[in-house]
Amino acid sequence: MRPETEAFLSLVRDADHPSRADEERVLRALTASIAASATPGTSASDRSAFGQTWFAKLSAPIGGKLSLLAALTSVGLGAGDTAPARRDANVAQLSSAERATSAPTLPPAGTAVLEAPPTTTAAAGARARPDPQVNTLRAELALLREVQAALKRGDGAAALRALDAHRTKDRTLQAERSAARILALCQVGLTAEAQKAATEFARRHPSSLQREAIANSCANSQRNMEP
Amino acid sequence: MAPSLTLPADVVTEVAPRPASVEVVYRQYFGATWRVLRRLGVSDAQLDDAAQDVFLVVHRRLAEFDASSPLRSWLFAIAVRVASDYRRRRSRRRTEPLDECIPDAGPSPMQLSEMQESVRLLHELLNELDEKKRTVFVLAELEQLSVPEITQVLGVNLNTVYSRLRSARQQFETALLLRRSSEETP
Repeated sequence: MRPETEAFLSLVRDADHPSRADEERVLRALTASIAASATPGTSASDRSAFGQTWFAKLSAPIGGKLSLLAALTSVGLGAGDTAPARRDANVAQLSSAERATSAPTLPPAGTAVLEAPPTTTAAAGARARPDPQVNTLRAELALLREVQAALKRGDGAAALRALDAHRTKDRTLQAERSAARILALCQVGLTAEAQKAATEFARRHPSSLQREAIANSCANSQRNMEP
Repeated sequence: MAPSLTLPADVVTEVAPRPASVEVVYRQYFGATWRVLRRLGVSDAQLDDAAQDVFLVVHRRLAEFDASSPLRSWLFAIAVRVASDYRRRRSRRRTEPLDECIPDAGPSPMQLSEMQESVRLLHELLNELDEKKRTVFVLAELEQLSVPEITQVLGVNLNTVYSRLRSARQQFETALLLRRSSEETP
């Protein structure tokens, strides 16, 4: 590039920094969002155990090995002294339209994230093509929360209905969905189906953090043989 | 009691510690994430939400992160996807003029510092690039990622990155020259 262009880029390259206030504000909102997505009903004592320094607490005992569903179901994060999460951060509060069309999707590293068909923009006048029918992060999270809630109340049939109603080709959260299905199959008494699904799960997701939950379910044939 | 998907604490603590926690990732990369989102066209009004989305994804997927891979590339891959989604959402709604993603630099150009004016110009020039070129240009020329790193972030091959970058550079440079020449013309 020309020296003038290089000089311009050098000038602006390190500009555009957020302020410390920006950093802290987003952190407070993020804290509140994570707390909002945690399981309702987490005890107050559990919440207070995390308190203000939830990030430190989160990173130390869990060590980063935090699966999505573990986060949704077991992490009770206090938010009483933090800024409220933004309105749409709580997946349960999202409208179905938002969930269906506008939430960000999970980008696996290495995914061709820019290879999706472009959408029409008023400015660029790009050729219009329909948006790819992908499930978004919030839609997936909303589903998994719904499924988890059904499993918690022992309503495996409702969990299966929810999973069946929300089919997707997006494999980002496939392990969590598959694990939830196995547990739901156990709840409705379809042990053989659950065991078959568990075998497939072990093949497809050998390092998944959900293996433990499956091992403790009816899908573990050895467990079922124990006296 | 029905088995839960929640991992028992002892299982969680048995696994090897990872090199990064959410807090570490946030503290280390918030600035870069914010900057990239802004440069990829997320409007100021949505910047907080978009940044929050990026770190929500980090929070939820940290366990799946391949620690042998560069954290920055993983994080930027998330940011690129989130920025794309916000841009798409904005264009779908068509309620927010594209100019709104240019940082509010003040009431009048005459009142701006040279730096503020340069940043504003940068965003105007970036707005003239299409999304793919813009992304490659921001990652290469502003965040100074190598082309192999960009291939990791975007999941496209080297030739594609080189091609987009070459085209983006030409377009950016031409637009900058035009602006400069028009500024110099009385």
